Amino acid sequence: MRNDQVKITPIIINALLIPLIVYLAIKSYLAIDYEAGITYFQLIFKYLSRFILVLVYLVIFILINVLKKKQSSVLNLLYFIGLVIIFILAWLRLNNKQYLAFFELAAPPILFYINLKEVGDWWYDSKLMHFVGRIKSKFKKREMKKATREALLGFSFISPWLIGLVVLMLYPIVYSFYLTFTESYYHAATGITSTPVGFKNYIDIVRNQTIMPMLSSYLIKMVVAVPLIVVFSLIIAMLINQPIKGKGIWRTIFFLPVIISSGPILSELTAQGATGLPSIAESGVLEFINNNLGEWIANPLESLLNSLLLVLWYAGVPILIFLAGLQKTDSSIYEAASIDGAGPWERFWKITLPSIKPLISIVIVFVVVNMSLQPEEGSVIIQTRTIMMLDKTVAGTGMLSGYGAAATLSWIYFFLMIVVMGVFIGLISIKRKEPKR
Amino acid sequence: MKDKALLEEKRIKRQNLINKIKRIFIGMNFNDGLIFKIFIWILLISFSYVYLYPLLFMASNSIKSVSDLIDPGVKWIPTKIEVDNYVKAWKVIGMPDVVFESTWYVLKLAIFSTITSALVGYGFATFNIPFKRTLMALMLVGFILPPQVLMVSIVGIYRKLGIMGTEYSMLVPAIFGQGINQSVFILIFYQFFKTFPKVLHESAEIDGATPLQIFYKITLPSAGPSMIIVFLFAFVWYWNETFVTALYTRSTPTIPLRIQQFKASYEAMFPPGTPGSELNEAIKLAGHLIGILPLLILYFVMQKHFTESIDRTGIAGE
Repeated sequence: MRNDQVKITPIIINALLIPLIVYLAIKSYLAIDYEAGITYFQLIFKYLSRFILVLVYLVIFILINVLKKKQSSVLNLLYFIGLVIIFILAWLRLNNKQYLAFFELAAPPILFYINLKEVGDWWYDSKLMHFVGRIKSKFKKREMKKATREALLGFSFISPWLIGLVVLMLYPIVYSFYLTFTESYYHAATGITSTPVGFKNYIDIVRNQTIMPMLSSYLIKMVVAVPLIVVFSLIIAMLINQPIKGKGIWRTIFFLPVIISSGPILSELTAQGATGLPSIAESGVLEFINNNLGEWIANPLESLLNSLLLVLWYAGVPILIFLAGLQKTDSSIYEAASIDGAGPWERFWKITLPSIKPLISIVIVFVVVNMSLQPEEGSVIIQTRTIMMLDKTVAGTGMLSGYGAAATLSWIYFFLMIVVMGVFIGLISIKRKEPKR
Repeated sequence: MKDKALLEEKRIKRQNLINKIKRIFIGMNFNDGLIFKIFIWILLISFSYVYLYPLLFMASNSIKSVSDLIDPGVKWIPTKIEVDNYVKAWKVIGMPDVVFESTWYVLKLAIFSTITSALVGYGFATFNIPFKRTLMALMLVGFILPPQVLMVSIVGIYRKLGIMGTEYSMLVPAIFGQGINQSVFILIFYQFFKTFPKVLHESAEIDGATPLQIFYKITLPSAGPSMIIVFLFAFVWYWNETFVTALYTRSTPTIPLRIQQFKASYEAMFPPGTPGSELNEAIKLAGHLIGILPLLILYFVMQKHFTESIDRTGIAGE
C-alpha cells in the first residue's frame, strides 16, 4: 500500500466529472439533429444548452488543474491538451461544422480514460477496494460449471450479433416471407396494412412481361459470366504466380477495381460505352450473334459483351484468393512431378487444379453474391425498390406494386441466386469415376 | 591428328555457346527462361490494359474539350487539356466539404463495424458455444441474402424505432453485426482468433484477468493486422454502397451518392440555356474521377494491407 490516507479530492472530482462526461458522451452519440422544421426557440435553446455545457466542462477542468498542481507534469500537459480540444470543438460546434464532431466524440472518452488512470492508482490501494474485494470473494465461492460459464461468456461476447440476428435478420426474413402471400401497402398514418391474397403475387410475377425477361437475362448473364470470371482470375493468378519481378504491382493493378467500383461509376461507364472492348464492337461478333441466335439468348449475350470489362472487374478478389492458394501449394510436389516427366500441361490439370478446387467454390459464392447484389441500371434489385415504393393507385393496371410484390420478387431472386450457386458448385464437385483396374 | 583435335575443340565450344544461349532463352525448366518471361510480361501487360481500359478511358475523356469529344480522330490524347471540366465538377460535387462529411460518416460505420466484428469473432473462436455451427451457418446466410428480402420489414422496424431517414439506420446494423458484408469481417476475425494459443488465455485467467481484460489486453493487440484489414474494407465498402444508403438514410452523405445526382446538381448550378454551360460527358467523367480520388489515395497508401489481406485472413486456407 502506497498511501493509507484517503484523499477526498479525487472522489469529488470523479463524482462530478463522470456523470457529466457520461451525459455528454451519450448526448453526442445519440443526439439526433432534427434540422428540418426546427423552430427558432429550439435552435437558440440547442446552441445555448451546448454552450453552457461546454462552459461547465471548462470550469471543472480548470479546477482539476488547479487542484493537482503538485502531480506529474505529463498529466497536466494531457489535461491541457484535453482543454484545448474541448475549446476547439465548442467553437466549431457553434460554427455548425458538423463533420468535426469527431473531436467531440473522441474527447470525452479520452479525458475519461486519463482521469481513470490518474485516480486508478489511488483507487486500487484504497481500503474501499479491499472492502469491495471481500464482498466479491464471498460471491465467487459459488462457482459455475466450466461449460456453463464458457457458454455464457461466449454468448455475452456474441450478444450484439445475436440481437442483430434476431431483430434485423430472422424476424425480417419471416415477416417478408409472410408478406409474399399478402398485398401490402404503407401509409404514413396506419403503417403497413396487408390483406392476404394467397399465391397471387407469385402468379403475377410469372405472368409479368417486364420481370420475366429480367430474370431470364439475369440467369443467362450468370451462366456466362461466372465461368468467365473464374477462368480469367485463375489465369491471371497463375501468371502473377510465375517467378517474375514486380508481383506487388500486378496485384495492385488487378485489385484496383474492388476499391473504386461503386454503383454510380459502373452505370456511368456503361452509359459512356467504355465497358466493352472496341475490337469486339468493330468485329462482326455482335452482328453474328444477333443474326444467328434467338432473341432470348442474343440480347443477354450482347449486353454481356458490351459490359465485358466490367464483368472482368469482379475478378479482383478471386485473383487474390487464387493467388494465395497457389502460393500455399508445396513446390516440391511440382518438382517431383516434373522429375516423373510431367509437363506444364499435366502439372496444371493433375496438381494445380485439384489443390485449389475448394477455393473455386469459395470464389463462385463470392462472385455470384457480388454480381447479384450490384445495383446496376435495370437490374432486378433496382426494380424491387421501384415496386416497393409504388402506391396502391397504380395497382390494377397490371403493374406490380407494394411491399408484398416486392418481397415476392426478392424471394424469387434469392432463390435463383441459390440455384445458380448450387449448380456451379455441383458441377465442379462432380467426381470422375475411378477407372477400374 | 592435330586438326581433328582442334576441330573437336571448336565443336565443343560452339556447342557450349548454343547451350548457353538456349539456357538464357529457354532456361532449365522452361519457366525460368527469357522467352517465357517475355511471354508472361506481354500477357500481363495486355491483360492489365484491358482491365484498366475503363479507367484510362475516363481519365483521357475527362480532360477533353467538347470539340475533342465529338472528333472521332481524337482517341486517347486530346488536342487541348480542358482544366475547366475539373473546376466545374469540383464545384458541382461541393468538393472540399463533402470529403470530410463523407469520411466522417463512413469512419463511424467502419469503426463500429470493426469493433463488433472483433468481439463476435472472438466470441465464436474462443468459447464453446452451443449451436455454434447453426449460428455460423446463419451468418453465412446473412452474407448471401440480398438486402431486398429484408428491406421491406427492416424499413418498418426503423420507422418504429424512429431512425428511418437518419444515418443511425446505417449505424444500428453495423453495431449489431448486420452491416454490409459484416459476416465476412466476423469470419476474418474468427479465423485469426482461432489460431491464437489458448495457453495465454489460461495463464491470464490464473493471474486473475477478467474475460474482457483478456480480450482487449492480450488478444486484441496481436490482432492488429486483421483490425486494419477489416477497417479498410469496411471503409471502402461503406463508401461505395449506394443502394442501401440511399434507401435508409434518404440523404446524400457520401460522395458516390452525390455523384449519382450529378446531373441534377449540375443543372441547378449552371442552368441550361446559358452559353457554355451544357453538361457534357467530359465534365461528368471528371466528376467521377474526383469522386474516386479519395479512395485511390487511400488505396495507394495502404496498398499492402489490401492486397495481402487474403493471405493473412486465411480464406484460402480452408
